[in-house]
Amino acid sequence: MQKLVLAVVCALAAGPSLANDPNIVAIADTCNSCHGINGVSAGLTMPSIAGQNKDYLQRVLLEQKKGERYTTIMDRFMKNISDEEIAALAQYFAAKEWVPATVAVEMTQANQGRQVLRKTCQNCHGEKGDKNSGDVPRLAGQWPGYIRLETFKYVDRTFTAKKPSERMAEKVHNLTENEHSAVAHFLGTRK
Amino acid sequence: MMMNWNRRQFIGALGTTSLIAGFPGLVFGSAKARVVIVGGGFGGAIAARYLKLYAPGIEVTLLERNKQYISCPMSNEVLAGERNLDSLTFGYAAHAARGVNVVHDEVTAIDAVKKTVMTQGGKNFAYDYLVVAPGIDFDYGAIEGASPEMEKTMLHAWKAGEQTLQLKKQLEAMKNGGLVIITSPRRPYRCPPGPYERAAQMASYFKHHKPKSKVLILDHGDTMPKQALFEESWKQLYPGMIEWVPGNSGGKILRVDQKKRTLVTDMGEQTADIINFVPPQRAGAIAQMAGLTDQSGWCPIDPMTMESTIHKGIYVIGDAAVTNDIPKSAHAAASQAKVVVNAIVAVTSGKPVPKPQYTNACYTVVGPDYGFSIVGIFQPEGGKLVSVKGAGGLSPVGAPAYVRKAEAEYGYSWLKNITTEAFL
Ligand SMILES: Cc1cc2nc3c(=O)[nH]c(=O)nc-3n(C[C@H](O)[C@H](O)[C@H](O)COP(=O)(O)OP(=O)(O)OC[C@H]3O[C@@H](n4cnc5c(N)ncnc54)[C@H](O)[C@@H]3O)c2cc1C
Ligand code: HEC
Ligand code: HEC
Repeated sequence: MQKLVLAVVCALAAGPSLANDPNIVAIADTCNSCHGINGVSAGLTMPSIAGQNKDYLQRVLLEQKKGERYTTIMDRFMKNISDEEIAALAQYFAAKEWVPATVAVEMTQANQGRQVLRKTCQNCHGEKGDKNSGDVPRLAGQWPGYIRLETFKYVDRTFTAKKPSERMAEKVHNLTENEHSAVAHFLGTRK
Repeated sequence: MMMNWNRRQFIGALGTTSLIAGFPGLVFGSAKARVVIVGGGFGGAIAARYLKLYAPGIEVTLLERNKQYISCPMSNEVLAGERNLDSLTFGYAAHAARGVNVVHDEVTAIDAVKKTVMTQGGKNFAYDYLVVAPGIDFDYGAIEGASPEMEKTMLHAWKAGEQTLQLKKQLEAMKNGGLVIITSPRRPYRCPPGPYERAAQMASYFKHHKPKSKVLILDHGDTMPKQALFEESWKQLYPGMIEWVPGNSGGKILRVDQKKRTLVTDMGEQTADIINFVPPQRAGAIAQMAGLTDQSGWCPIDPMTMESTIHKGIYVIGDAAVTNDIPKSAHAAASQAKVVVNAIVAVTSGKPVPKPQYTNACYTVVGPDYGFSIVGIFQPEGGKLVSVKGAGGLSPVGAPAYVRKAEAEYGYSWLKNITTEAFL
């Protein structure tokens, strides 16, 4: 036991190669029952986390841990994970391949969604919704069910206190229910 | 000291093994180890999956009596007519395709000394590591007058399948204004929130089809898990339809009269149109036969590795194991499977065993668009698996409808992802 603790500490101090540390992989594997093996979700409302950029993942996980971000369950899960482990987990999942959701295209909805994306989202999320750097995560190929649950948080007043992004809230809170669903659908069908 | 989680012990085990005739070439660091898994439920199936993921060279044999696995999680929704059993039914083709030797047979004996497993079909399987994940068995003997025969008139439906469908039929046939009794058994049992979730799902069905009907829960325990959340949700969704009698108020079943179809408690004789008798439980029968259980009826393990403290080289995971603060759930079984796989993979490839990560998450769905959850993080401490203070916890009481809906949806996604992890 003593030896192991030491090994963990050394590994954590070592930095970049952390993502391959078996201790980190063991933590990452506990995420799979909810987020899917390797962070690729098969569940319609659970976010895929594989391939999201490291900065985003790290920031979000830290905010969840500190309770600075509204979550239904993640805050309870992150409390026992150290900041160093969070950095390593972010690196681990960021290095995984993004696997897009499988969503059958519904033409009318998709066309409406494409327009909403162009008009309201693309400045920040990219023309195809696939910008994935800095504070912005990839949306193209994310599950529409999850996107819809997330954008709801920008509309409902219950969540204003811990709303994730002020600058996005300004832009999206006036969209209609239809527009929200359409853009979520369109994004979900992108690869 | 409880610290037998180290390489020396594994090396020791392998060292001896490699000297035994019939085990040529097996040395420390060998990636060709043979792992046999007894039971292809959430625990066993996920262990097989991760062994193939992390150590494809290891020979994995999965012994499971049934060709199909039916998930208990979300099976209470079948009772409400919210889903059918097909949506919870899985096979083992994906395991076979990944190179797991899947054998459908009943394991009848385990020889911990010779390191072999025997089946009803007359086959023997030699192993270097054995993972035992047989789930639960019913302990009818614990209650006077109870016996397996009572399943003809009082279903348990605590192993999802035929009985789930029969119970649903009974609900459909029952008159409006009828009464259902659900018993919540001696602790520990599989899925602590299960009986209360079931009561809610039955009430959900009644609400729409026979609104004068009621559910009575006779509880062995004095408290229920997620109590405030259940009570809040019952009041909101099914006012006056669910009554709960805790053990200290006369809920405990003292005796069963099968002829009269009654349950005797401190409150006297109880009967109902439908009695859903969830029996007391213990580790799956094969664990008893193999001598892996203690007086409690469950299998004691070393919390660092899930290795049996009775028979070395045998790992017991899932419902069958003594896991102290960790509830008996599919999610917990999955996390235990990974602990064991990490240990086996590390040892067979000559690397240190990573720190064990024990977690639980359990989503409860009490009706359409209404879910909540509990999370637990656990660690070995003083020879036990204990809850890490300050981590985990429950969904908040008084949450807005959106949150309950989101949690129900996340619950379905959890089911999709954990069944994919286990079977697809
Ligand atoms: C109504 C209900 C609702 C539930 N809801 C949830 C939930 O929402 N979330 C959650 O996490 N958990 C839930 N659970 C609990 C969950 O089902 C169990 O904790 C889980 O199945 C335990 O997995 P296991 O691998 O230990 O055992 P099991 O899944 O029971 O698997 C054991 C397997 O071993 C096989 N087997 C046994 N003996 C032998 C033998 N001798 N030879 C060959 N094969 C054998 C059996 O056929 C079986 O397939 C629920 C349970 C119930 C009853
Ligand atoms: C019990 C299920 C569960 C487990 C286990 C779980 N998560 Fe989550 N995760 C969720 C849910 C649900 C959300 C959506 C936010 C919320 O409501 O909590 C989420 C959201 C996230 C997000 C935000 C995704 C985004 O695109 O913004 C990240 C990152 C994440 N989880 C990482 C992890 C990691 C890393 C682990 C393992 C250490 C983990 N999760 C374990 C259920 C889970
Ligand atoms: C002004 C910039 C901006 C605009 C415009 C914008 N977003 Fe965002 N969006 C962000 C930022 C920044 C984040 C990350 C915020 C966070 O969660 O910390 C984000 C996050 C999200 C998320 C959460 C993703 C995840 O993985 O959890 C979704 C979904 C989303 N945006 C959808 C949209 C949609 C749909 C639109 C258009 C209708 C839109 N956004 C417009 C900046 C913007």
